Amino acid sequence: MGKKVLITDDTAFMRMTLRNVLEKNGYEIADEAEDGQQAVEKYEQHKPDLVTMDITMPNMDGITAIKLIVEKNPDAKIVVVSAMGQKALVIEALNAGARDFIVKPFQPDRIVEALNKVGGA
Amino acid sequence: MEEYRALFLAEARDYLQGMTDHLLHMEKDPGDAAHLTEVFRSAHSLKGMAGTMGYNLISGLTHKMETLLDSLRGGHTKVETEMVSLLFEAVDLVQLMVNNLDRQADYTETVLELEHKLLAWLDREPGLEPVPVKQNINQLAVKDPDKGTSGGGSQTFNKDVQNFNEYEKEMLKDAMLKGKSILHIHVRLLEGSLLKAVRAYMIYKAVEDQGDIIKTEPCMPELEEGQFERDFSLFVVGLPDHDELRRSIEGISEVEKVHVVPLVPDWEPEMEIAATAAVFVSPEGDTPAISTADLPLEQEHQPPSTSDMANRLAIPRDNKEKAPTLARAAEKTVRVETAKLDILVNLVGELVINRTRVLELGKGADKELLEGSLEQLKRITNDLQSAVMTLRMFPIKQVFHRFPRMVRDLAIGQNKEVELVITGEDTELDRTIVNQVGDPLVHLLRNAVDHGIETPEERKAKGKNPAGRIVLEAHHEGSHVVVSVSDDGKGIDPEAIKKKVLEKGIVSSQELEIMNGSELVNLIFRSGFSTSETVTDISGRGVGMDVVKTSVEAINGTVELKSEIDKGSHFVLRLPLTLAIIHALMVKAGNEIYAIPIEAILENIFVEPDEIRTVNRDRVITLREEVLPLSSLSESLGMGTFKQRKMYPVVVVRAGNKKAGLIVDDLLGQQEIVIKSLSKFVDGIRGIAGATVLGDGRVALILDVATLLEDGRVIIGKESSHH
Repeated sequence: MGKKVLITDDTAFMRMTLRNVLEKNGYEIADEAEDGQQAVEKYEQHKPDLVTMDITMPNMDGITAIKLIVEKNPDAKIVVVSAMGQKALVIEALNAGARDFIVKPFQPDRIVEALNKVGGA
Repeated sequence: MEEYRALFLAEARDYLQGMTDHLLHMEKDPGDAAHLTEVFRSAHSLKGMAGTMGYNLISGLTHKMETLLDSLRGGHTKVETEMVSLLFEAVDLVQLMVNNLDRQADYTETVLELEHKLLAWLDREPGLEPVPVKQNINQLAVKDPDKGTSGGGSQTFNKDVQNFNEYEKEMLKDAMLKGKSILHIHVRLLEGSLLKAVRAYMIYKAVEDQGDIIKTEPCMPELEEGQFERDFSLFVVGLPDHDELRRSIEGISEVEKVHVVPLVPDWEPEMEIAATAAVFVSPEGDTPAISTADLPLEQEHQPPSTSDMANRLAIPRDNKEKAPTLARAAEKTVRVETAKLDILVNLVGELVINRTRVLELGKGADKELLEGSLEQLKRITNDLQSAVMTLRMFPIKQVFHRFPRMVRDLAIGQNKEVELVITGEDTELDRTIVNQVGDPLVHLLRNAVDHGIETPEERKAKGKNPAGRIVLEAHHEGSHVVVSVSDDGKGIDPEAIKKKVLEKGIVSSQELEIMNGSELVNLIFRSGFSTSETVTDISGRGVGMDVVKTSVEAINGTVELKSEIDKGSHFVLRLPLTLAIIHALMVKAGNEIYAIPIEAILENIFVEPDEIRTVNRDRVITLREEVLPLSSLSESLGMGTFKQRKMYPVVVVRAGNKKAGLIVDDLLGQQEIVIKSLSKFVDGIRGIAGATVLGDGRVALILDVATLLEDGRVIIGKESSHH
């Protein structure tokens, strides 16, 4: 069984893209979250091996979610999937405890590489 | 790919609508940053999606919008109507491109022009600090085709690696004296890496944990700005284990190559450092020395263009069947093809019919068990029916949401100030009705802005708030949804209407004399009556209120108007919740059974022959001090003649402000009927709205009371002035 991933993104489109890419590469999708709040809740629920995290989302942004998740789960392996032009935010996310990041629009192998590396596959 | 596209389309439209809504709020309340943030977020999400799909024009344009919005966020630019209009223009253009995804190229020029305007807005602000984020975006947006990455131009690795300054030399000397090792870490990122500055930052941090970084190449500011191609170097002192260091850097994504080379500087304290890579020698040869061959001497590649990226984002086609489930798992709402819903609704309709049939058969059987299970069947079908019907229900929001923008544009076009207040937008009704109620409402709102609301000067003179107010409201009322459009404008003058209808010969002066105020005002719904005194480009299109009335009545609705001079006008639309299944009274006339929609029925009465009087050869009765015209249904439909009887069952019907009594042969009772459309041979017969299948399999026609009364086949009655 592949590693379990929680996908977090507010666009269904991006979630679907991520899911397809990851499933194709042997990952199992634990669940999908549409905002930071859901990500925090679903992390506790599934305790996934890896999390992909969008930054700009409604309700709760990705950075807050990372902080909350890492606070409770220092070993959480979160990869930020950010859009272009969010340099400062990505840095903030990394400082908050994200392990790595990739930039949208991404090439499929990049997100797989990031998850492989962070997950130690 | 199609699945992605459909999802892209659906989401793009949501984001565009979101942008429109929040732009409107933003314009109204520039102080509230929340709306700006939402607009920004929508533009941002759209940009990302479009970029991934390879819609470069859309992502480019949304990017420019984002830039402008960002300068608003930074407080560098102020919200102004003209700018909001510019942003709206961009929203419209994106919408246009989203609607015509296959013809993107057609819009290239328009997009460029608008992008230019958007950026020009930023530049025209006098004394403006250069917007920092804009700058960063330009530098980071590797894919911006006209910019490309400059990469700082001169940062090929071996060119100026050795430019240690005095301070750095001291650091190196110190390290050597203390016996610390000095490492040169050279990192090459994968081609096409984005946000290289952040990547560099990650690597910097990973290295910093294990030693002191005394120099970076390119220099820190350039590294922070991402001004390098793919390669950069860190010079670190005091590292015990360079293998571990290499592994930790290799653990970061988008790192293509890491070289960690211990340095033995080939210099004496006073000597100037030679500007060649040869100053670094690899001890023992166990660690690969940096050979110039490993390093890019030339800028060997250009950053990939967006389309390259998108093309390479090879979306797996073989996963197609998985795609819908993905969307479903994540969405709170499900997008279902309406055709499928229709089939479901139809099937439930069949079930309801069958239930009625079984119930009737059961009556004869007279077995308790049968009755029990039939009762259960009835309950289940009822539940199923209401459950299925809710599937067809849509919030009226779907129609309302385009109005704020429309009203804004109309008001600006006429130099009027109008506030549109919307309430009850979550009220749900059948999608068919939702789809058809839009046009009449557009018309009413246009009229309100055009003819209702006065100019700010006029309003001030009348002692009113210079800004007019239009309230669009929806709520449930029994099996109806009531939608109203009210304005606090000048209202409608009954005298002006009188003059107009006489001029146009719509109504005779005798008829006018007996009309009360409300009746007069409602004359504007008559065909041939145009409300516009002056022809404007807004409502003066020769389309009168009669069109509103016709289209509302086409969906079994009614429209009424109340108006008071200088207080405003109040239009009330009463719409049925659904069109698929209705409650109807079944009546018999001649040998046929007809269904009369309950909505059209006021009451049923029994009339004795001596109550019927004849006025002008028309039959009438007096019902509660009100004269009610009677007409025989069989006669009206040309199905028979009026027969003398001891007692006449009469159904009192109403459509709009007309009332009449329909004499029928028998009242059969109330029942839910499923509307079946008539085949094209009998479609469009005035007076008949459709057909339904009865429990026993017979077909009954559904009466269209409004057109029956309209046609005058049933004599038109009038609302009593005694009310």
